[in-house]
Amino acid sequence: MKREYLTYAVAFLALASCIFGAVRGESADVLQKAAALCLECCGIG
Amino acid sequence: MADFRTHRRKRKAVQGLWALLTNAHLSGFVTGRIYSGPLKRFCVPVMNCYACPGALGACPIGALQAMVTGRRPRFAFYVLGWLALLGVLVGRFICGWLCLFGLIQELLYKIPTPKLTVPRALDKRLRYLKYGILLVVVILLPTILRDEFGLSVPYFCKWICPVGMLEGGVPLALLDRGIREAAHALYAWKLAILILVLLLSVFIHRPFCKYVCPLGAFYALFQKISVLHVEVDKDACVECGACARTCKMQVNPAKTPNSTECIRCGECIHVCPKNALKFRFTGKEASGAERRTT
Amino acid sequence: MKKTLLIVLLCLLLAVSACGKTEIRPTEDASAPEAAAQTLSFETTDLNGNAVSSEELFSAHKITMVNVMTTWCTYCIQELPELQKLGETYAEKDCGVVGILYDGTDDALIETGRSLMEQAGASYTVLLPWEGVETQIPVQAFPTTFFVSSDGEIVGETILGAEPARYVTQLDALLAQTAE
Repeated sequence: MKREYLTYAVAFLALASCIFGAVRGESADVLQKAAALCLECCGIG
Repeated sequence: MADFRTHRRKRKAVQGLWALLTNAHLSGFVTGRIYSGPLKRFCVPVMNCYACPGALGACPIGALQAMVTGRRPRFAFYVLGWLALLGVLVGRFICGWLCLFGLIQELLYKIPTPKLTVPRALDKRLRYLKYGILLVVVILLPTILRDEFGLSVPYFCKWICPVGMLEGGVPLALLDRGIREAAHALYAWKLAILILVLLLSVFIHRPFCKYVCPLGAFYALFQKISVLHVEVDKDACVECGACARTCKMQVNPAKTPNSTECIRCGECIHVCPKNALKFRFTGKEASGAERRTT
Repeated sequence: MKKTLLIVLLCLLLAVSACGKTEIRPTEDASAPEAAAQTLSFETTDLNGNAVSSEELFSAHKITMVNVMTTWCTYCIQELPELQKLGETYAEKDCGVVGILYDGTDDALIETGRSLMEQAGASYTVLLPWEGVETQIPVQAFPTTFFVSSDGEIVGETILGAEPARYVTQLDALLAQTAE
């Protein structure tokens, strides 16, 4: 029983965190880095 | 037995198809240009370098590092929330069924050579390395070490990640002269790591997953509470040890079915002569018999 | 068997449809402007708001070194002081250094770019991206450095990665060529 509650609580927090981060515009930061290459950051140098 | 082989093939097919789906930007392998469209806002569930010419999504570890290395490091609510959600839903099932690099290591392991058994004591200690890498290399170092401009470096991506080397570094260097000419000592170092991991994979099953992968380490944190999990029917189990012998991650499913080292490949489930092991979803009513879930 | 074939075909379809954005270019120099007979022509503003035309910009020097960077690329920013020094040294040889802030697309990023340049002690002209810059100068890897003659033609080799030593070698080689 306890274990299930933990599962649901974590799932809820995770979803909330993800949505909060998305609303804050964090996915733009991800896109910025993922759509271009900083060479030395990738280990090419 | 036939069921067991079908299961293996099914899993390989899923691994392969998912790899193809998430790296479907095939033109990249001709032009040497990576995809830069809106899909890269989203992290794929597995290690998959955004520098791969075919990649359509962002690598979760790369994305995590991206949040931390900016001029103003931000807590990665979006990335961590997404990863935690995946983790609490299925745990390391992702490792077993969706990871391309995991697939590659497994295919290399299929090469018929004598296999290495890592001594138990050493193996147990080395499993903790991946948590250290997650905490220190992925999170702490980029947060703490900043240059005079306030910028930092994705240390895991730069110095360690063999996945990025195989999927991004190598194809890009093959396709693009400019990148070839930019490759010096650092590239050589990363290449050496990649070759070492690939070589080890022939003799040891999934060494990267066991000892190094920071993403696997993160998902492992949710193993014991994930919605999808493994249950042992204690009444049916005759303790024959078949599951433990089959498990290539050195887990004993009868004793610890939701071990942090289990990648939920399901082979133990199909090898059990008494059908005592099952995948279960939290919330679905378990019938009657006593269950062991940790 | 039929099912697997169907799935594979569907995936291939997806793959082809995902090919949209990039144009097919010759495999060599995939991430650099064509080093053969490409002339740049544009109008834009620099970091300080001054209007810049490519004609004015490039005709001012024998060779102009163009360094393409972004605000988030650590190694681009770290090489700024050296680029400034390089610019000062080669000014005597009638070479100029110009930057392009490839992600300078909104006020916040432009301001960041300005403060980074200041902090680095770099005062050379930095251009802001213009409409069509991605077609004229398709850069995917940062920093990318290329060289332009006084006619606005791209010359020499395009260099990927922060390597001031290679910039110098290129500059010297190109200067030697123009001297002939």
